[in-house]
Amino acid sequence: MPYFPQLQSGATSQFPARRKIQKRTVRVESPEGREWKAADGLWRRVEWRLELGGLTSAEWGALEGLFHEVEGRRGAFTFLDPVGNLLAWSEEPEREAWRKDPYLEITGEVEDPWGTRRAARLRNAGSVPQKIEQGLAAPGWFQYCMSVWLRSEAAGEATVFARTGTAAKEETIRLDGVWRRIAIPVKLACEDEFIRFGLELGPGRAVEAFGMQVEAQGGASKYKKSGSRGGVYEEARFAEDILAVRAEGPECYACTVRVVARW
Amino acid sequence: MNEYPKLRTGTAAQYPAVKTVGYRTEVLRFVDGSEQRYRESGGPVRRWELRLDLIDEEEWGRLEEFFEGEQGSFGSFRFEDPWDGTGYEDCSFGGDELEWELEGESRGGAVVVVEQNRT
Repeated sequence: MPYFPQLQSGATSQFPARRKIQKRTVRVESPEGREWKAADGLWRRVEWRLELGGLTSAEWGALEGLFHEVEGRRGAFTFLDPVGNLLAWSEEPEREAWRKDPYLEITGEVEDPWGTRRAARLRNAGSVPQKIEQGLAAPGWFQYCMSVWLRSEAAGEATVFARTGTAAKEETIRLDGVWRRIAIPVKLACEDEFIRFGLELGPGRAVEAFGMQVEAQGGASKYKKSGSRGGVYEEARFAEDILAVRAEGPECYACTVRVVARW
Repeated sequence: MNEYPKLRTGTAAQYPAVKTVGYRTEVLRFVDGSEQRYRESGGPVRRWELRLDLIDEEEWGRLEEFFEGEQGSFGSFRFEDPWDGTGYEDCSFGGDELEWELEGESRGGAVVVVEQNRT
């Protein structure tokens, strides 16, 4: 499966970036001026407009290579939302998108860093390490940043990890009762096309967690709550059959790319 | 009934804000020059164009989630007129698209159109 390439910075886009979501509604007007509407609930689309500048010939070449590979608008590729959270259900760890080990107990509606009740308490009631994780059908070798707020009322620790079938990055964090946002850059040397992000607790450990986020870039940006749709779009396409590039100087190219995907 | 979400400041709009009020009148002109006029809707229809600048990811997330929940222009919600605080019960998004431009970290902008539904 082809992938929309990352820039050398590890990001997919630059500022300014635009994201547009589209729905479809059928409208019928009756003779007396009333309007009736029907939602086309299955039709949802998202479009990004990326203005890329200062590209090297290698960066431009990767983009042009993808454009040729998918033959403009014809073929599909995987696109990682550059302005969204790649994980689904970031505040609902009970959902099926999250894979939980059997002895991991989850309590919802716990007080979060902003004083609302959107965090979750995780407790390992077993005698071996237990984890909660979410897998993404995304390149394991891309640059990612995983971030999450953690605290533990009793001094404790948790392991934040990114794993593929052949490579892994793990960091064990010592925690206290103060909320801290942990951000871990991840870039694995592998060729796997599936990567899992999650938290692991040792036997008897309990932590409170909020706002787990994964982004395809080197650093964490502001937290974005996600719902049923994560930020990995496996059926994305170019919106146009033409890809134009401007050479602004030696080894300096610029272009505007529009990408569309079904929601 | 759902209520249109407010920004962190507690308001729904920023300057410049545009509000329009419209009627739909059909005019029939006869050969002798006289006219017959009648209305094609039950009352005035209000429309607000909200230009939002410097909104952050959380504010945008709330707006996008609300747009999703309303299924674009299909759903109906309560909108409080930012000009005078009057609440209008039956309003919808003016279109099926919602676009956000991110100019930098926590520096997003969008234009949202809200319309009062015709009854």
